[in-house]
Amino acid sequence: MNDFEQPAFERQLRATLHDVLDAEHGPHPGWADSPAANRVAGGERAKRWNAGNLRLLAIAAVLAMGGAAAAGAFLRNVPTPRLPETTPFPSRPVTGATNGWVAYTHGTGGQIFVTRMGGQETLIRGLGPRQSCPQFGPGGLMAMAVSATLDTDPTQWRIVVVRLMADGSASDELTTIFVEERPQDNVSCFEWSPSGDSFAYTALLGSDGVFTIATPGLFYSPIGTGRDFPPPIPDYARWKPDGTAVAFVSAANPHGDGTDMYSMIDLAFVDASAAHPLLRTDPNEIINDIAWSPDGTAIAYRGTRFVPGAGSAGSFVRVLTVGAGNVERLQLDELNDHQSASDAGPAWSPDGSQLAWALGGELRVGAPDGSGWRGLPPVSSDALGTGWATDPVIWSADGSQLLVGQLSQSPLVRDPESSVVVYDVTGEGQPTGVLPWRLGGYGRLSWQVVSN
Amino acid sequence: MAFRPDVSDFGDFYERTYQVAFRTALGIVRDAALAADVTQDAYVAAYRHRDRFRGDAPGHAWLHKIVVNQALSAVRRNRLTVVEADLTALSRSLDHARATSERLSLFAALAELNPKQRAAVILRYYLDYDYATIAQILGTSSTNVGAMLSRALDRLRLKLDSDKPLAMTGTAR
Repeated sequence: MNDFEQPAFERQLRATLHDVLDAEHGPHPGWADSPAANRVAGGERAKRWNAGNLRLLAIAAVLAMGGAAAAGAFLRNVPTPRLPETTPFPSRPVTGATNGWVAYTHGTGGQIFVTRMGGQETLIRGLGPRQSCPQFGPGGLMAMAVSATLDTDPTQWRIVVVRLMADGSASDELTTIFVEERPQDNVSCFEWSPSGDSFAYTALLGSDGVFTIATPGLFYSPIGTGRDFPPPIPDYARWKPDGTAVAFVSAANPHGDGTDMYSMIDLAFVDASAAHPLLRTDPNEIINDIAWSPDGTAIAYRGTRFVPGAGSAGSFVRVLTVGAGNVERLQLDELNDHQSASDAGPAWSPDGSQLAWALGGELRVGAPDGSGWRGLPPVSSDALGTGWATDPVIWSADGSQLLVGQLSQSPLVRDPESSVVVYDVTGEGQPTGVLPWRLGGYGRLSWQVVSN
Repeated sequence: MAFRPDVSDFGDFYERTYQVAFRTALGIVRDAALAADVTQDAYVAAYRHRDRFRGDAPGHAWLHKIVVNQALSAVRRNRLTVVEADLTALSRSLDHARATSERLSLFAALAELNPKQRAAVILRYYLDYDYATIAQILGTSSTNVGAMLSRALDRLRLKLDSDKPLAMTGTAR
């Protein structure tokens, strides 16, 4: 299959589902005669009485605690810094060459390409029919997941390491790690360890909710169990910079019906088989990415807050201070009433002095204590002036540039195009380079700037 | 119309949303009787949590989240039972000029997917939710949703390729 066939297949799948399912009619279209109405009718009066009395008890408790002062302390929100006005939207992004290699997949994936900004893209060949998750590592190395079959058979999956050559081609396989125990479902992409000799990733193990984080060649260890059904799906395995532990995110569904979901950040130590919880979000908040500070003392994370029935109600970026017995969090940014699909990051600058993330399609850069923030101009915008961004946000090694994916329009609209933009952070933050707009988009971006 | 949490409004909400909720459940559990039960369970749960629903917002992601989770729980409870879709029954009211064998084959191939993949496919290609909303409903990340859908489409194509000549191919225009 090539990339141009997939949209046709998706269109036919969409049409088929509507043809078949829309012809079906459930047997209980009226509420009054439905089994659900009968089941809830019996206990409703008693529940209303109980709810009313519980509300009175809660008010009495607040008054007993000190009235308005106690209620105010309880409801107080962490203040959010106000962002300054952004610089004007550019008429067209500037296309130019840069000295970095970008690796990515196309659309729904299957093949890995590398290119320089404005240059010819090169297909990485000969490793297997299905490749994904390109990740640059130390010294021009690049790792990727390769499956020996198009249907990702877990016993045929392996991590392959190659060296990227000057012409963009790949060397022969330098290292091959077979991951025969790899579970079948919900396997994340992997992340190089700080020492560059192993990888971390998350996965579900079977259907009972047990999940693992593994570093092939170092350890493979179950570190937790599912908290409820559907089992929490772990993701975003991120190495602590000292290489002693991996932080990861999972979402829990305490009622089993999708209400009051929340996320957890756990810390799994390399030399232990148990995970140590770092953070549980408030109900109806889901964490979408995390990033360690270079000194390993904090984790920045981006999340989505949603209102049941209303989908995404907004996004936030917070910093979690990780210390012995003392975990604090600071809210750096929030944006309400927008599509969380236009968010990306966060990412720490290599020296830890700045954070970058995208909310509402706007790339924002500032100090992790909330000072000196600014918004960089979005390259794309729709009729309402809304920009659209997509994961990830990547800093160059010298901290002077930022790379981020941007969409031509809302992902709610079918088949948006995407581009890859590089910003010069040292100046006014104007975009200095782009990859061409592409239908279906760029996936799993990895970027490495090499010296001239 | 804004939804207010009383019985009469919930009845209206139920009647406006019931068929799509039922079809969503059907797409996941692939058994009409089980889908009807799942849908009723979902509305009972929705009623009990109705104070958390803000009905003046577009879409019904909240309800569909409950339906999907009830459906996945039902599949889990019934996982030792072979549940196969009755394609004859499912196609009884189709426009037969359009109900090609290719489309029935494609729908049948959905049985090859695991329940969560099937839920992701239904949410994306039947209900047209974006990745972020699907991620909230399934309790995972947008990235994982993309990977899940990618694997699901690959598996569907493989199944259809192995069933040729009845099945459609990925090159259909």
